[in-house]
Amino acid sequence: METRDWSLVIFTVLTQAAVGAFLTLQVLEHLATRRDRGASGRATDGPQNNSPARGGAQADEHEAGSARESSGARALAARGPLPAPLLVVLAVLSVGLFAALFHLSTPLQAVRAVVNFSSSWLSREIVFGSLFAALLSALVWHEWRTAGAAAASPAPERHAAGSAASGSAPATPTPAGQAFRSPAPANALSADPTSLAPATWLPRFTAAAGLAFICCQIAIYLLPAQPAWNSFATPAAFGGTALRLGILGVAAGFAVRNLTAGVDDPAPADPGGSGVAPAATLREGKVIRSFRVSDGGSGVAPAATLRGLALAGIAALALEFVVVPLHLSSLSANPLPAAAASVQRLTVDYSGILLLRLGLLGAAAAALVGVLVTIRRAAGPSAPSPPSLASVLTCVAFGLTVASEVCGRFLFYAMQVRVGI
Amino acid sequence: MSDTKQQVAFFFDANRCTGCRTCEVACKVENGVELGPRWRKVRTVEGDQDGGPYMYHVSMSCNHCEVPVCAEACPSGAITKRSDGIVIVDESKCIGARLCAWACPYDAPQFSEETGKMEKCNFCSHRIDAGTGGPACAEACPTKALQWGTLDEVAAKAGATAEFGPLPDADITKPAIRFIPLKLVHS
Repeated sequence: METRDWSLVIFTVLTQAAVGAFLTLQVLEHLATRRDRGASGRATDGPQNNSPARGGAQADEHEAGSARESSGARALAARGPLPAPLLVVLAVLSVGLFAALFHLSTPLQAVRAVVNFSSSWLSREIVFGSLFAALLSALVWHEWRTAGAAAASPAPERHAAGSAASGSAPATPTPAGQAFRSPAPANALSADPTSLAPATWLPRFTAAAGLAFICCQIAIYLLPAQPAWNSFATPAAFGGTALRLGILGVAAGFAVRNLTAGVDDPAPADPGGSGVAPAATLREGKVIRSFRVSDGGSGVAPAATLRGLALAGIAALALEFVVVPLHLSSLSANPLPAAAASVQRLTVDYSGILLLRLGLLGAAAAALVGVLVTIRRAAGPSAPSPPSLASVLTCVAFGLTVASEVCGRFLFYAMQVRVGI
Repeated sequence: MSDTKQQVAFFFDANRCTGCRTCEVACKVENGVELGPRWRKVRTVEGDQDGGPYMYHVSMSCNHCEVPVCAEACPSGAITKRSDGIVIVDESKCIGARLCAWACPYDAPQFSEETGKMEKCNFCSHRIDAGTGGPACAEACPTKALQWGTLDEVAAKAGATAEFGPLPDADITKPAIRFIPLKLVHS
C-alpha cells in the first residue's frame, strides 16, 4: 500500500465512525424519548426517578418555544451547555475530512473535486460529506442555542410545568428541574413529523446526508477493474465500520462520562446554578447533549443503556467474522487472476495483519461480554449506573475496535489488485 | 459517446510483435514523457497450452475507450473524450486524486511524481490535429504489429477481435482497440 493511502485509511475510518456515532445517538435519543413518552403521566418514585417525565415532551416543546420567544438575546448570553456528543462527532468528522486532502497531490485545489458531480462518486462523496458536516454544525449550534434559551427563561414557570407533567416532581430545583430546563433535543426519529421546527427536520436531513455520504464512499470502490473491491465486502466493510465504531464510540462516551462524573459536573450542565449533585446529574439530560439518558421515570437507568450498546456492539463485531470468510471464498471462486492475487495478499502477504485484525475484534467482543457480566453481577440493568469496571471495559473494547478498524482498512487498500496484465 | 465511424482506434497483432519496444521509445520521445510514467507499455505473456509453451508480447496504452470509466471517476472533470474519441487529460484541472488509475482496467493513467498530475496517452492528438500523421508509436512500429485507424477500419481487419486473452472483459469499457491473438503452432 502506498503511503498516500494512509490518508484514506484515516479519512474513511473517522468519517464512517462519525456517521455511525451520529446515527447511534439519534437511535438512543429516539428510544429514550419514546420510553419517556410511555412513562408520561405515571407517578414516579425512587432516588433516580425524580426527573419529570418527558411527556413531558409536549409540555417540554411548549416550554422550549415560549422560552425561545421570551428570552431573545438573553439566550445567547446565557450559553447553555455545549452538546458534547455532537461536538465530538463533529470533531472526528472534521479530522477525517481534513485527512482526505492529503490523498490529493494538490490539496489546495481540493475544491475542484466537486466539479464532476454528474458522474463521479468521489465528487458526490465530497458534496454529501460537506453537507453532513454543515448540517451537523447547524445542529450543534441549534442545540447550544436552544439550551441557552431554555436556561435563560424564568425558572419558576418551568418548574411548575415540570411538576405537572411528572406528577410527583419535587417542588424545589432538583435534577428534575435541571433536566426539564432543556427543551426537547433534536431527534430524527421521534420528533413530530408535521412540525417545521429545526428540531424536527435538521436531524433528519443530517442523518440522510450522513447515510448518503457513506453510500457514495461505497460506490467509489465498486469498480469492475478491482475485483477485491467490486463486491458485497465493500458495503459490509464501510457499513460495518460505521456500526462498530458508531455504537462503541457512543458507548465509550457514556463510559467516560460515568468514569469522570463529578469532575466536569455539574458546572457545564447547570448554567442556572441550581446546585445539582453530580451523581444525580449523571442520570439526567439528553443523549445528544451530554451522553446522558434520562430515566424518564421508567426506572430504566444508564446501566441498561450500556448493556444495550454492548449487545449491539457484539453483534456488529460478529458481523466481520461472517464477512471475511465469505469475501475470501467469493474471491477464491472468482476466475480472474486479480482476484486470486488479492486472496494471496490477504492470506499470505498480510496474513499477520488479518489475524491481528480479527484477534483485536475478538478481544473487543470479549471485553463487551465482560461489560455484560459486570453489569449483571453488580445489580442488573436496573442499577442507576453501571459499575466502573463496566465503563473501563467499554473503553477497552472501543480502543481495541479502533485499532482493528485501522488494520482492516489498511488491508482494504493493500488487497487491491487491478484486472488485466 | 462519439460516433463509431469517427472513433480512432489502435490495432495490435500479437503474431507480429517482437517485443522491441520501439513503440514505447517513440512515445517517450514524441511526447517528452519523463522517467517514470509509461504512456505505452510492452508486456510479455507466457503460458502453456495444448502441450506446449508459448510466449508473446502485448503493446498497449490508453485504449480511448468508448466508455471511459476514468473520465466518469475523475472528480475534477480533468478527463474528457473528444468528438473523435480521443480521451485526454487536462493536467491543469487534475487534482491528483488518482481515481482514474483505480477505475481503468488497463493501467493507462500514469501518475507523475514530478508534476503531481495524472497523464496518459493522448493518441498524439497534436499530430492528428495538425494532419501530420497518427500516433508516433504505431508509425514507428517496424513490423506493423501496432497500427491505427478508425474503429470501423481496424475492426474490419481479418481475424480482429475485441476480446484478447489476458485482458479484462471488453464490456467493462469498450476499448477502442482490436487484436489478432497469437496463433499457436506446435510441432
